[in-house]
Amino acid sequence: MKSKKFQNASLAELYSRYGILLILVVALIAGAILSPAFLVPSNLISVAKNVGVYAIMALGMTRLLIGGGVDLSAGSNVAMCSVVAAVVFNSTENSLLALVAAIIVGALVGAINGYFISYIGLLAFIVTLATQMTVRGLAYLLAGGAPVFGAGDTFVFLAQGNVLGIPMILVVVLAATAIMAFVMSRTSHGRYLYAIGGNAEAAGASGINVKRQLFINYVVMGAICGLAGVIYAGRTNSGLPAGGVNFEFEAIIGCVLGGTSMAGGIGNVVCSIIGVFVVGIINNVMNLCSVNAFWQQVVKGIVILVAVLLDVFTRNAIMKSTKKR
Amino acid sequence: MRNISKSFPGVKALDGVNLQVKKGTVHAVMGENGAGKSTLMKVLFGQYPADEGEIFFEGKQVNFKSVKEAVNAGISMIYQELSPIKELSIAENVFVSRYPKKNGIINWNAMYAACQEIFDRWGLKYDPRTKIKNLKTAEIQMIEIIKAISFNAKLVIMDEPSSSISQKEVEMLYDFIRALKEKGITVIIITHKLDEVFTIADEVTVLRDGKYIGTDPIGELDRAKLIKMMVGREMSNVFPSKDTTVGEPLLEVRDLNNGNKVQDISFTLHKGEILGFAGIVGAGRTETMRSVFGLDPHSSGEILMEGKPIQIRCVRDAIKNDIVMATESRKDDGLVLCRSVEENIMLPSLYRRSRFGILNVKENHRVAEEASKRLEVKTSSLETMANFLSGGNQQKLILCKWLLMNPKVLILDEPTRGIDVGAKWEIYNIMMDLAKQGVGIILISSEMEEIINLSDRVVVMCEGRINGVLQKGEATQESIMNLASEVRA
Repeated sequence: MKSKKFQNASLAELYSRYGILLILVVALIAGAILSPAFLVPSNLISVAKNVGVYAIMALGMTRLLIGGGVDLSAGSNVAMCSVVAAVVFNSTENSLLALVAAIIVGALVGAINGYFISYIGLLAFIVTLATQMTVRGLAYLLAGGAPVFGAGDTFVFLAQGNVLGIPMILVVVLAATAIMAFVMSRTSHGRYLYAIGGNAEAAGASGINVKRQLFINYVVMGAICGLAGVIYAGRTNSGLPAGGVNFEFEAIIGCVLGGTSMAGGIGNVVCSIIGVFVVGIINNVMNLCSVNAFWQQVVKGIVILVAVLLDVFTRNAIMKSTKKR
Repeated sequence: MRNISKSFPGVKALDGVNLQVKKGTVHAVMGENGAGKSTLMKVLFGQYPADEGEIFFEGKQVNFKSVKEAVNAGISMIYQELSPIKELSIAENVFVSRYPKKNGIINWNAMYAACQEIFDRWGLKYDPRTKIKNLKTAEIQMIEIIKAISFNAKLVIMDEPSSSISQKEVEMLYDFIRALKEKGITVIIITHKLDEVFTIADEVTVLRDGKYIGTDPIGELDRAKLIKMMVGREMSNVFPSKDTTVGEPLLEVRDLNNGNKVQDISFTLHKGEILGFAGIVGAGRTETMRSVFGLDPHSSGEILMEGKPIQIRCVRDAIKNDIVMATESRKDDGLVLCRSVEENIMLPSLYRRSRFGILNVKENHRVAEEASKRLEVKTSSLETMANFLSGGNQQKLILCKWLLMNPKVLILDEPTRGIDVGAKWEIYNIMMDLAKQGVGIILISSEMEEIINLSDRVVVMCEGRINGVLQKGEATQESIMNLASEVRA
């Protein structure tokens, strides 16, 4: 009995550490079985292109969740930044300038979120819900109520092009993930975010400027939305004020699937990115099997619930087995 | 309970433990942290199944599969960490999960009346409509006990009931336990405090490392014998003696004010000195130190470090001036429990160890390992979640993280609360070592013995003010209590 319990515990521990990889493998195998068109390079490339924007956003979202926050305005911010990128590009024909402008505008939105949340002390949920609407409105105003066509070849290449058969977006996502993984594990800022999300009071009592770190966290999230907005513009070759709706939830779902705790303090950007890809694969397989769009939503919802349940169960199993007293 | 055994992966938490509690007595269960006291109680209370052994309650063999079954049989447990619903009234907390209902709707009047009736029976003067958040910890504890016995409990288990309440409130608790005993209710009390056992218990069972050591009536025991049973070794002196002399003035605080909890506080801490801060809970000791450490602001006052005035507006200011504080609660503001041992140890000093914000992971790991070895933190690895460590080891972890800062002033707020005798001894020794190295230590403690035996001088606070300073020889339980309860006009 003892050894069996021990096995259960280590199994749970194994799952909590590599669970998302397991899910990824299961999703890949299931996809291959369900549709012969799935495990084909061109299809996998299209999956990568589909989830690119979500993946970039998930990098920022993981940081926010780890730090104990959330950003519901991210989708609107992406739309706004795509419009900014398109407008700036159309008037200057300079992609770099457009990129910088989008990132600055995104970071500004993030700064507004961060100011109200960390310095004024309002709830992240409320503040970002408010900016979600405000920024959406501003995006429409800036775009003149209609899509702004033309985002430049550079952005289109970023979002849709290939290098040696590898989609450029995958390169961007991997590079950004590597940078963010480094920031989270190897810089004091990253370690502070974990500590703040785990216990903000203890972090404060250890001399960390909690408010400033959280503020920075939102600014970075905004800047990441700027980058995501540029890629989004490249994908559609336009600035779409009506786009990006519910993108923040796609990012959050990826994070949660990847084992990031909504309560803060626990999570990992690499796992979040894998989580985003798993969601992308599920979408893709259902499309290939021509599942009715309504059923797709039902299935996705259930998958999320099951993933979170598994996560909670394994965590509890570990707790029970390791906690002596 | 006969021959109870319980194993967890890698640990045998209980190994053939016996516990016989006589009806209508107060029975203390003692032992160091990790001795298996809590586990034993959880087995009894139906939270864990026993691997082996039998449990008899009122002569009948029982096998509780859930807490509910245990409660129905007449057993209640009051946990060390209280968890009331703060926004609700006393009555709601007492009756939560079993509100009196009429036609499916809560009958509020009946509930308040029933609650009032219980209070009257036990001679408590609380309004059932008062919100829990307006009560003190000790009062909440009373309410929890009331709640426990309102389930018609015949046996009440209390886990470290006096660990977070002041001396005066402890008296209240003891009176209440005696009242329970008079009404024929049996009490099992898990405790670390020797005084408590001798004050309140009829019989004592001692566990050590999951094994049953013995049960004795209190009359046949004395302190030395009991300590020997608990730690398995003779302790000539519970406190290490301090042989270092006090040096130059280190930290001076002049006329510090913050609200009504910190009023006109002035004191001087010298190099190598242990300055005790005594007083009842709520006297403003913690608040004073929080202001010194920059956790709370101060409205006026001066702080001098080695003769030079310094500005402390935030914790980082204090840290930069080599003042650190190990805060009172491990759970609330001491540790990030969901993160690893290493991360917790390194947290305050990360900023000193990074170049352009980038950390040297190997170097950090080495530093953390060294630090945790120096204080003998018992953990399976540096990656272990802080949550999994015992109370004593968590406390050492907090010390670890601050000692890495090489402080000149170390403020310790209740450094030994809820930890076992062995771990206390180790922490005292660490303090002595630091004092020898010239570190000035401020010790806030509600344990009189600790304050008296460790401090060079004792500052006694009462209602936000300093009521007096006692030299080593003058500080006795009586003289401290006297100053701590004397309110100046």
